[in-house]
Amino acid sequence: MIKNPDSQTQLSNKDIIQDNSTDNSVCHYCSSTGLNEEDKFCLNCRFPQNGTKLEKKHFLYSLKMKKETIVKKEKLVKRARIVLFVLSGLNLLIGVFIGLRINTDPLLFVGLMIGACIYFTLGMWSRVKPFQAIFSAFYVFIVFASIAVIDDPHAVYKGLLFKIIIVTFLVYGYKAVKDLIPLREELKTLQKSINFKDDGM
Amino acid sequence: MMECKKCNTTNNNKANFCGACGTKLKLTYSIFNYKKQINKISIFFFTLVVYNICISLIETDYNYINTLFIDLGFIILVSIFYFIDFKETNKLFQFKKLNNLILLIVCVALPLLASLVYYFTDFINQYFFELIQMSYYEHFIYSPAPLLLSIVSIALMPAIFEEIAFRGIIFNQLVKLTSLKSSILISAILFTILHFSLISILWIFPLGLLFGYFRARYRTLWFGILGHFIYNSSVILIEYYYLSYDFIF
Repeated sequence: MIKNPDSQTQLSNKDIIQDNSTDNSVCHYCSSTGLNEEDKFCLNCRFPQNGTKLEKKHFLYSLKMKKETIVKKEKLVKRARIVLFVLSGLNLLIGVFIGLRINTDPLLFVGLMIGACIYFTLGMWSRVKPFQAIFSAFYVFIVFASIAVIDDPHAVYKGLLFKIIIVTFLVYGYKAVKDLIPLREELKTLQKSINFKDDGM
Repeated sequence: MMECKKCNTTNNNKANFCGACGTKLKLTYSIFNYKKQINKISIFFFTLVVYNICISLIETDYNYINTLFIDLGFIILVSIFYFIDFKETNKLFQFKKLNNLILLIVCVALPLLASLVYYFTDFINQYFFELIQMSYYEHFIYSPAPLLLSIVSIALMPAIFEEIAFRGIIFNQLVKLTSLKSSILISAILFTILHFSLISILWIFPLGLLFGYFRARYRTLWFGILGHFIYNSSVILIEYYYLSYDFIF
């Protein structure tokens, strides 16, 4: 189902393809007005008004693919955000566990608590500015892992798989945010109805 | 009127696509290759991280010669990236007139903050972590000119090269990726974490934000360099004062 942006009704793909209305000055997909009756494509969204059913199907399929890509990318961003909260939780749990032990290093406890706060803040920030937060978190994670290596060089191998998974989620996360921008922009442009009469051909 | 390059049909000015052949006439989205900027930041930042790890892993006495060599390595690395991005970074070396607010921040607020941080770290190191306060100046005690060399190594060099690195090279790439405010924030985060000290986040992060603001507002690195230099030299002067005091009494 594709939402017709102008009217609040939902037009099914079938309706759009089988729309045999004679008024070709209005786009059957984006409702742009003032189109040339003889034009094959809508000037705004490229919907093949006077095209074959197959061409119309192709158009709707490519739009569906774009929407699916957006959903996939949004999932990647969400995953990266979850990773930040998981990291915050892990730091907090380990910190509390270490803090409760006798003769524990207070510096380690404070460090873990600060780490938990940083990841939590970045997680919250990622709701408002996902790219900035996930991008920063990626570097923060790498540096924190490096600090652990300085403390104990064998730490480079400890939890290597876990580290790789975290880095992968974060990298895919910030890349997804950047890829989402042009995709959303394009869909917004294609779905916005325009009156082409104003300009006069 | 817009003419389609493919079929020569004349189309409406507002058209995104040609009505006759469907060719794209205008971009319906912005094309921006963010990967180039991200790669530049990552390569530079990770080079500095690896350098920091290496010098931390090499077991060595922190005497003045080693400290100066460590500084030299950092200077060389930053200079390489500075010359790669010379045109863009060099623009930030234009002189701007100092205003009263900056003078007040740089000459009063930063030395005050440095003293506050010095006493705060001394206090938490003694009472919470049972550690002796690390002294930067101590590394230079046996050098021919302790105060001069410590100020050059700990105040002057980091002020110039850390500003070039974070508010110059990294900031220039960040501005292309995000807004000015976000660039200030991210550059401050990177500046903070590269100091490899979790506790010092409390004062390095605000300093990073302040120097980032100077860079964004005045488009020059000089105010950041000046502020950074005054902050670091204040710490050295406090240490110098206490060590001299210890020697006398």
